[in-house]
Amino acid sequence: MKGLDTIYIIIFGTLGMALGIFMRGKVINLTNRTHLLVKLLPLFLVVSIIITVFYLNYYYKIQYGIEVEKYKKEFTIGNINYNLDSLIASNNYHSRVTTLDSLRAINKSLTVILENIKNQEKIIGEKSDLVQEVQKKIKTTDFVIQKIESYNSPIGRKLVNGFCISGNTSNFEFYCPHDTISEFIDLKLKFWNDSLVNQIELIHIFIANEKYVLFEQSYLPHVGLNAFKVRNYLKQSNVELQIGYVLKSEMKKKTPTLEKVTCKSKKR
Amino acid sequence: MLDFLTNVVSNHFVQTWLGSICVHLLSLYSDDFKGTKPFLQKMFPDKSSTFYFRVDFFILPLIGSFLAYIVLDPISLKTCVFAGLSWSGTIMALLKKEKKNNSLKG
Repeated sequence: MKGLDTIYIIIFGTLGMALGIFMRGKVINLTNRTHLLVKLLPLFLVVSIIITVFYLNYYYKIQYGIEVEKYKKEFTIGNINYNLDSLIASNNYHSRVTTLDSLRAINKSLTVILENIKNQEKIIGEKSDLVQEVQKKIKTTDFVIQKIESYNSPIGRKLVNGFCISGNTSNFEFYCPHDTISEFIDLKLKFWNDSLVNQIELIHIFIANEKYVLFEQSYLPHVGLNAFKVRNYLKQSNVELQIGYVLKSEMKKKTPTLEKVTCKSKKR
Repeated sequence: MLDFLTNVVSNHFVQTWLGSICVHLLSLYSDDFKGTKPFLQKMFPDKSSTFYFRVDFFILPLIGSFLAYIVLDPISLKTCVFAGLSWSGTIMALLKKEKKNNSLKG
């Protein structure tokens, strides 16, 4: 039985007794000793209420302390010092899923903690500082989850035998990045025709210089804006970035065709 | 239903009123304490003793809890109940003193 359930019995017992006395309309006369136990019942209930108040206050203070400890623990886990850009750009499907799962789990337990603290506030008084702190933490974690989810999910290597390239396609909107300062860059791609997305197996990004392949990764496509975060290799000279899509029908071929757009860094 | 009851019981005014009811129940053991009955008898003469008892039972805890809630602004269950207990007790003590003064003058 929860603490609040226990107090219901005592509170409604006292109120019921008060209502009984109210209806009876007479003071309690102890000089007449008939039904003495019944006459002493209001006194007993009042004393019970006072004891219950002290007990509930003590019990909920302990429970509040437990919730604070839980929050501190979740706060420490949620504050693991990771670089969000680096995490998104790592393109590791498993670390992305693990991070999202752990962030969702943290938010779930923070929501439970917040609910418990709000219930305890009814007994031990307002704890607005902690409530605001937990709410802020939930919002921050939600923001991080949304930010990670706003980027396309990487998938395992599918173009193992390489790919053919087409001329520059005009089926999607893509602007070549010109940022030569940042460590990571955002690539954003939007298909003109959303119905094309259903026919696409993957979106592929290929970055290479004259000698080496610097980066190669496939992603799941989706309707609307497709966003990718990659290390800014375009800071280097003579680097070529190819971004495009491969149709499902092309995947049966040994070397599927990549319908792409090419960007090049400046020669120095 | 349980949520509604929880909200009612969690309300600080209700908790203060509960404290006032408790102290009023204790006051019923005293034959000397008349509460607001003398005042009520002047305001509404020729009514039955049950009427005065019931109106007194209704308004005295309500005044006590209202004053305690406004003046002390209690924030937790403990402070609410004890604010109700202390302010109703204060009112009762004042009314009792007034009655004694009146009887001395008489």
